[in-house]
Amino acid sequence: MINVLIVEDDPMARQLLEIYINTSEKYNHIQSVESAALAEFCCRTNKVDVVLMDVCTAMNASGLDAAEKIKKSFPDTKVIIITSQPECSFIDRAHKVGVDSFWYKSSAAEEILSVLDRTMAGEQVYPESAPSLKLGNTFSENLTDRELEVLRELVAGESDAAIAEKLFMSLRTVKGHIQSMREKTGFRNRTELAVRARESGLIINNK
Amino acid sequence: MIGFCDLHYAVKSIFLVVTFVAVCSSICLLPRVFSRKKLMPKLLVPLCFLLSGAMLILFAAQVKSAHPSWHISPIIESVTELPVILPILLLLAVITTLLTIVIKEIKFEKNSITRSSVKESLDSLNTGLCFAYKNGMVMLINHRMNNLSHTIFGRNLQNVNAFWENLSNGEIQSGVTRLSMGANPSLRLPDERVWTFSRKVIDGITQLTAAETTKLNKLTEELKEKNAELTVMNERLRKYGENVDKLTREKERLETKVRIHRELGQALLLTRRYLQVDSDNTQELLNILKRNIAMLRLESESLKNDEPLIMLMKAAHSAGIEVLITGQTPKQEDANRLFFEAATEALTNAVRHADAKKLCVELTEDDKAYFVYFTNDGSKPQNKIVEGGGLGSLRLKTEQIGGTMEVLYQPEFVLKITVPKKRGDVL
Repeated sequence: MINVLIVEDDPMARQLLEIYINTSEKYNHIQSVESAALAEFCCRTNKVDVVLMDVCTAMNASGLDAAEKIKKSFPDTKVIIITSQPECSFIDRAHKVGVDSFWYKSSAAEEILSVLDRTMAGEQVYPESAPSLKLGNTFSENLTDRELEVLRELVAGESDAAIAEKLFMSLRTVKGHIQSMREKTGFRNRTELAVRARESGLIINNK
Repeated sequence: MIGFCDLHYAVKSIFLVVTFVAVCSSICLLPRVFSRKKLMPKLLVPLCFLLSGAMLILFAAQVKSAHPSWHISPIIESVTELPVILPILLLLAVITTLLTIVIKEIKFEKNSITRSSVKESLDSLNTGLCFAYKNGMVMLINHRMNNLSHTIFGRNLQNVNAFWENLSNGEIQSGVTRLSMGANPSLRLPDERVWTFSRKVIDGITQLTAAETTKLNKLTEELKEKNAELTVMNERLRKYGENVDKLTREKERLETKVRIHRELGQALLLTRRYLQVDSDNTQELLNILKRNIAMLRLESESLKNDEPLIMLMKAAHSAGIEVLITGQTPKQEDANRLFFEAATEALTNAVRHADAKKLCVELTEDDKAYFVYFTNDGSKPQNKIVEGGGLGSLRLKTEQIGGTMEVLYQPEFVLKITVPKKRGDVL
């Protein structure tokens, strides 16, 4: 039997995943925790073969941060990130920290179990591309990487000057990126741009 | 030949007046020419003064001799009897010399930088300027600075050091407002203009300047207001982000419910199909039914997450580790999150390095800060703790919110974190 650790802060989603695991014949659900901050501890005190983990978990703990720690300390333990957030940077970051597979929570039980099977068979399962999100008059893929970086700081509530300092750009460049995004999206001001980006799930900070 | 004594009384008077003017002019020119380097004016002007003065005395005495009681000396009499053309020519020569020197002086004043031209140019400046000796005694001051001193303190500027002190602490006239102190004090005067003062010592000479910064001050105030608005807006944006997190969770839960219903529907259809076709694969049917029942139970249950430290206690308990918690968790959100993260780090380290079976968490607070102490019953460290990724990251996060972290290894391992209370949280 393959031991599965579930890290999910939403109790309903967590129990649903537990049901999927408990009703399958191959997998054994050994523990569930609400916060990714506890994931490494659970791996240390239990024999965990695979971790099914959300990105945004209780106490603001990031599943991606926890995945990085787990992969460093327990390279043989498989980590599957499952999220409902279409945040554009999650997939890239998951690749970087060595997450084995990345999938979306909205999938049916069979699909999630299939991702588990393929991951345990040594396959890396990732969506082909990040989901396309509509942002005003444009789509998320039409924003450049640099614009997305500026947008991320904007959503965090940083001033233009603070963004410039943080991203090592001039104030004029920051204003230029914001203006460019406003033109693409058709939003009236920076606040609307930030609010809509956050609402759409395109940008989720501190994860 | 006609002598001076033979002239008409009116002509004599005119001659005397012109001579008197020449005497006065040469007196006025004397200090000027002696302040110059050129030698010739220094000789000519006193000579003109002596000649015109002598003529004035002699001819005035001759005019006075007309009175019966006045006895004129024979020398004066003989001089006044000389041909009148001689004193006229002499007077003309004196006047011409003086005029030439006056014209040259005017040209010199116009074309050269002199003491007075420096003073004049300083006085025409809109900037207040004053130079003083080390003891504060004024060396040079312009009108603007004196006017400012008068407006601010009601008196002229006598000593720069005292003036500078008084700008920050002294008594000021009513209607004058101090805007900012420090290295460059700024004051608003009754006419609503703002002046900023600065002091600089150059080679032992103190330079005091006052610049009008009304527009700059207005723009700075506007900028401050805009920045304050922006800060409020950014804070609202940050809080909005947190609210969106809550909304997103609610949305996610709703989607989960929809998913459960969808899967229940699919499961029922599958069950029906299995029953209709009389399939032999009863294990698969059993799994589907088990999942169905579990899902139905899930919908009827009221689901809630545990408190953070209870989560930690449960996770530790499942691994056979006891967590003893004393005190209350902080009400301040950032401290609460940090203490939880510190607790997970302390728990992981207690298991990893000390093989501990018990973790003690002591939470305290005073008026200014929240404190947490972590200890465990595991093996005591022999050497100083080297902060790796976990503790290093925890220290960084602690410092980011203005807190401090201490890691002690003797007599036992203690992790101590302090987080200052935010203004709204201080009792």
